Amino acid sequence: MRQISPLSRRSFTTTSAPQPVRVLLSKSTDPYLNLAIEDWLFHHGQYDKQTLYLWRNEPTVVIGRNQNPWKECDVKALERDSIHLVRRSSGGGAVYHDLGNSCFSFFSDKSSYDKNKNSLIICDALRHFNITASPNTRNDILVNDRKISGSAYRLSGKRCLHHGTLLISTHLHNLQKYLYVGNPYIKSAGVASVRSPVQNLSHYAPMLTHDLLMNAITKEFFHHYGHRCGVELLDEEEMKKIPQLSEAYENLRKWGWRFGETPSFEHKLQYTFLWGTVSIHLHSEEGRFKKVEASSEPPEVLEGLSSLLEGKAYDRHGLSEAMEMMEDRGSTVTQRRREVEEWLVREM
Amino acid sequence: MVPVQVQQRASRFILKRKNKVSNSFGCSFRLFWRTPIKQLKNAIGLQHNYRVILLISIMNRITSTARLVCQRRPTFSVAASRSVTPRSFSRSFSTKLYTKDHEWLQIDGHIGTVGISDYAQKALGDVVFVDLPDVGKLLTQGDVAVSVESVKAASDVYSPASGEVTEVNEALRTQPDLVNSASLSNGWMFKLKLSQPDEEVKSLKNEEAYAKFCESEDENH
Repeated sequence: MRQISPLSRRSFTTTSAPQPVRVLLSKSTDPYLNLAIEDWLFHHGQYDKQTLYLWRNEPTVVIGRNQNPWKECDVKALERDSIHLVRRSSGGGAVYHDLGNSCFSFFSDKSSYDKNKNSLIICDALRHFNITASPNTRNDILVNDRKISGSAYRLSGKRCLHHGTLLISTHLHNLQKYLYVGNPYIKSAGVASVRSPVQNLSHYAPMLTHDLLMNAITKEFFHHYGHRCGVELLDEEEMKKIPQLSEAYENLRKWGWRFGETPSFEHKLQYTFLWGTVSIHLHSEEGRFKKVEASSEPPEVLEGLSSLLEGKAYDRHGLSEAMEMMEDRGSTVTQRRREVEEWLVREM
Repeated sequence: MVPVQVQQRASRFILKRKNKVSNSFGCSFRLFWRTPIKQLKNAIGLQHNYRVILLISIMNRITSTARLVCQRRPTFSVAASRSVTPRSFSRSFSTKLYTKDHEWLQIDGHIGTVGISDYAQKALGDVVFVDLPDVGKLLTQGDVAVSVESVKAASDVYSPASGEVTEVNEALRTQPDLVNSASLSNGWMFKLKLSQPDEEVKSLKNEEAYAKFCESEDENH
């Protein structure tokens, strides 16, 4: 257990009564484990203490509770480049994490929940590095009108979670590569992301690292609540032994959560090949094909595909499975079907 | 302005007539309007040119008095000259029961309709998405039934009673803002076939107790 030295700088004095605190720091960069720890703290943590949990992930796209991954990010590129795709339990939009992005989570009881205070703790921590930051109306934290932190929230009964990101030295071109502006052909019932121009904190403070910033946030957390405690370092193997945490970890990795929780959506596609045209209107529910209207000219290319797709997973595996079950109509038709499949996989 | 005593006499006069003829609330308007001015003048000392003003000004008094009357008298007698089908009061007078987590439950036979209170929708902010349960899902009192996403947070809505989900409000899929604009009516979330209504309602609050609970929540926060 590390002990944190007393603060040497003050930006203002805290006026509220001291409250007991707890600080945890994850040593893992596995996004599923870090989010499982967060879930475990949310449901089973001690709410008589203000709790701060600090963590960071290896390259991952994290989408909000009610988002459509196919609309928010390039799912195929994530699979190709071995980037994780994780759905969190709080609301809000899609974000890209890598080791240059640090995350914070504040857990409070409803009576003492104050997301503005949490944001001020972060801003005061940044002041240690001569960075002047302030929250906007959406509680994003900005430096010179550029977003360096976004937040999301989850409320359940008396339990309140406010968590967010901090761009220290993230690969911003990856952020643009993997997160979409929005696929105009997908009409979705879910929640859309709100895009903002971003910047790394290292642009303003080149020596800033994850460890330095986490140390500063911890100090400000103690200062704001008038209490100190030892920081608990969370070991990956030890955490996986906790039954509720292990269950949350498995659930986060399941296809049924990551893709199956997608709100219903429609996707309209059409294309003209050298040999004819194809028109497909897909309805998806729970991440699966629900109702498909697929037609082609000449008709035998896609004949029967509509009914075969229903119930299959909305990805290239589900599509491939359905196309293999189609009736053999000769090598020309098979070749044309292959072209349609390649096109569809690119578009979906 | 119409004197208060005249308003009170008019209210009592109308309620007496209403209860004898029909329990329809709308009838009280017609009764009042059709009653000859001489009769009204004799009964309550009303002048002709007061009639319109009085009708508008006593509406609230009749409403609150009639509600009390109906709660004491669940069935109504029917006059011999007219047959009037007894019907319950309009839905806005049906009793809602509330949980400490700000959900409401309205019971009709074995079916309970569930939604969130006005206090809750204000706290949530603008609702952008409602994740409803599947029809057929079995819920126990206190289970997380619905997840609501607003601009402020993703929030859990708990089931106020145990039972099987029989219907969900499909309108919320395309109009999640109904939760804000009509939380007590068209913004209902799901219906349950209740399995233990008699025991579970004991733990719920009536409107008055819930209003006091909300006041104490505001004081503590």
